[in-house]
Amino acid sequence: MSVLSQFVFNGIVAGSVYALIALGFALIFTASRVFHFAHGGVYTVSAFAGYTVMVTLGLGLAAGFATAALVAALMGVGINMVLYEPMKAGNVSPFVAMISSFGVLIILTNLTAIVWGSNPTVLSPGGSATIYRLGPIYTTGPQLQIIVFTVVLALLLWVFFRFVRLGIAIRAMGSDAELAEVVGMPSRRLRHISFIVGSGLVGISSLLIGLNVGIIDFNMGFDIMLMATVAMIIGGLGNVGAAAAGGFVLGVVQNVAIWKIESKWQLAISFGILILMLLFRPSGLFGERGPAA
Amino acid sequence: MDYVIYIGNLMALYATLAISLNLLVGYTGLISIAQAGMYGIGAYITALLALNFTHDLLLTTLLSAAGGVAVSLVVALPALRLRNEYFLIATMGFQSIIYSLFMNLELTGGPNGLWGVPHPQLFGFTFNTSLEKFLLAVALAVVCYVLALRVTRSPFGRLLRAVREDQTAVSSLGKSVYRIKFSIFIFSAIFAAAAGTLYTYSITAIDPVAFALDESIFIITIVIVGGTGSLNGSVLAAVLLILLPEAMKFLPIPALIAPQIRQISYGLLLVFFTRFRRQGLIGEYQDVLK
Amino acid sequence: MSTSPSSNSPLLVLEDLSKSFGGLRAVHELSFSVQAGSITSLIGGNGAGKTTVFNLITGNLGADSGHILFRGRRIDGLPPHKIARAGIARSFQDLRLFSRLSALDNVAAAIPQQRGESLLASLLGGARLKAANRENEARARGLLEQLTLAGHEESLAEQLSYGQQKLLGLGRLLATEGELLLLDEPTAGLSPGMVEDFCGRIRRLVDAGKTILLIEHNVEIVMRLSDWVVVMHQGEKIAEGVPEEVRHNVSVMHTYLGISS
Repeated sequence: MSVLSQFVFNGIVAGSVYALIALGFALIFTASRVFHFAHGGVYTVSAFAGYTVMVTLGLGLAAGFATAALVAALMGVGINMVLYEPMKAGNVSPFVAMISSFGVLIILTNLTAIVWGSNPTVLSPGGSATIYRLGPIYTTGPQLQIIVFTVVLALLLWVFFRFVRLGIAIRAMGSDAELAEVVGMPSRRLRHISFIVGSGLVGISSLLIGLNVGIIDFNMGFDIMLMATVAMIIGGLGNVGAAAAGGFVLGVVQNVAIWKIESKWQLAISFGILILMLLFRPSGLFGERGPAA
Repeated sequence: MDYVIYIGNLMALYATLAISLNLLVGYTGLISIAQAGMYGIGAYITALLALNFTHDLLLTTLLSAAGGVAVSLVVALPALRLRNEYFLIATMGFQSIIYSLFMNLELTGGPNGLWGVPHPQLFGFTFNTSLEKFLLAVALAVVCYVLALRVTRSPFGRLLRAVREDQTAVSSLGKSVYRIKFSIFIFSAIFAAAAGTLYTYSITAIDPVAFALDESIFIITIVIVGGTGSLNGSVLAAVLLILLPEAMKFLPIPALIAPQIRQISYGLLLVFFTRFRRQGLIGEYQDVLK
Repeated sequence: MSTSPSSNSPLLVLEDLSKSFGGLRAVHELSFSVQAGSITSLIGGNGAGKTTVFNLITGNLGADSGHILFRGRRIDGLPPHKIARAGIARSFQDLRLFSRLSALDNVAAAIPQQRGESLLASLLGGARLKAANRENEARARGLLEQLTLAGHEESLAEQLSYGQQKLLGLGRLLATEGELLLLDEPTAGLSPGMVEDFCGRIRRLVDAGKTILLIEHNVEIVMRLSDWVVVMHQGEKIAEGVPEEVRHNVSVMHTYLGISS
């Protein structure tokens, strides 16, 4: 039993990572209805930018996080301004934005490799944090930090979208962009804000996750993008809290599965779940509406 | 000289891949991100057959195509029930599953892949020079082009384009949208798998990375740069995009970062064409991706 | 033409059909039938559920309860393409033409059971296929000509004027050879001259053996064309009868005619 509880706990740790990434991804999707695959690239670049400030320049943890958040926010809103907004204005199908987004992901991934090199980079030296014991479960400080940070952030965003005017406006705009336009909501600005916040979050997350894992790698954006997509589909589209919950579910399922199945199949299992969800529960576990088949 | 022929070989293979994907993307409006997976299925089946049973060209091609059909059935049955973006995401999921299988199965040799594939034989003749293999790839591309042309100009092709425009209207005319999509999906997979067969025979060693998600994105880049719904465009773009890194060798780029520069230029092309020239180089329509 | 519908056999029968969306009752226990060779009109204000009825008949929506019979056989639960193949063709309020296909292709795509319609047949090719394709194309051209669209064969549907697009929609509908035609506001948005033209065409279709179920907002047209009128209000049938009866029905005047005219 204690083995299982350790697996579940590991799942919660992994899940909080997925949830963190999915939060920004879902925030952006909620506002703009774009599957912003380039989010993975923003994640990568901001992690390395944070690394440069924190480790290379030795300016400390706070400066590192601030840099990562700033770089990510600027990139996110930049991509929206240069790519998605003109497409939206030109009534181009969301497909095109999705495919374009892949292009941006590829560009950012390879730029990172050129600037920071294509070998994995050690972010937190030593990598061995103190191990704590909570009942039958073993854990580390960074793990607990991530879980707490994720839960607090998810709750904050939930409150933001439920009770704060700006949040409610963004949600309304996401579910009916035309109507929002008609009633004179500043849609463009709201979407920009969503990209800034969503990307800033992923910037912070990238460094937090990097510190937990210990290593960052130019190629990590693809997996990040894939997991964010899976988490959002599991949780439910157009709902930030649901996407975060989806991330937790994904993490737990992946980790409980490797109790019985070899860990190399984690990715395949995740996509198996993705496809099953699309087929049988397209609105997600916690979502309100989904793709009409 | 061998290198030039090898580049030509790649052009022919990517032309085949792009034409077969264009039938889905440009004609039917099915944005599939699993083409590299289908390509890999053909490549791995061929490598396994050639290493263990037979390197008869016809037999390995047919069995690889059959494998492509089998896998595309597994992908199509669920994925084709989904519309729009969700089809794209489902194919992305399958692409990742297929890649994960290549990467992790013992049978496929894991990350190291399979190597030492013998030259293909056909009726006692062995294709052992790169020129002969290049000619095979060209032959496949020509067959693919001719059949694709035939398909797109037939009443079936008309239905493909009708599905792209409005599925509900197509079914209101008594035509099964599912059957139409299904047929073309399988057709496309057959040619992708056959391209995989020739790829394996050309380079005699394969590994999973050649069939990863970014490879699928590269194939869709060719389709978009050439022009969705234009077979000639796919051929032209396959040639140009394979030439691009060769041309860049004349630029003073350090060899160390050359692969990244290549990827970045492909990424830039993809972004440029989706943003500013959605009809591609010689495509018909501005907004085929509906 | 103007004989009482009950003297014919019903081609289409709706029995206690219901459909809700969430809490909204779009169609509620609706029953009526359409006699072969008649023009039956479905009228009612916006949101009365008329287009939902069409979508239920054509299988684009599944009914919550109730039955639909076509030629005495149940068709509810069949997928849309099978219902269309059984002989029910529909037009759409928003036309749903194949915008970036030529006018000719729009019509030719609708011709049933074409030889080259399957992938395999189109790959194999052959002289018979070519002949069949030529024949189908000729038929499509003939239809375009009947619809005064000769000369526009190669124009993309989206390049045609609205009136021409409506004609093209009708052409595509006729090419299906469906026996029962469901027309969703065929005259909406047309000039008075074209409205007349459409009415004439609809009447001639019935003379040629078709049966028509019509959704129409123009009360004048409904009264002039229909053999039978079914009035809907908030998803329910509130009256039906020959046009004269319905015209004098006070509740109809109140809920529909009074509002929209």
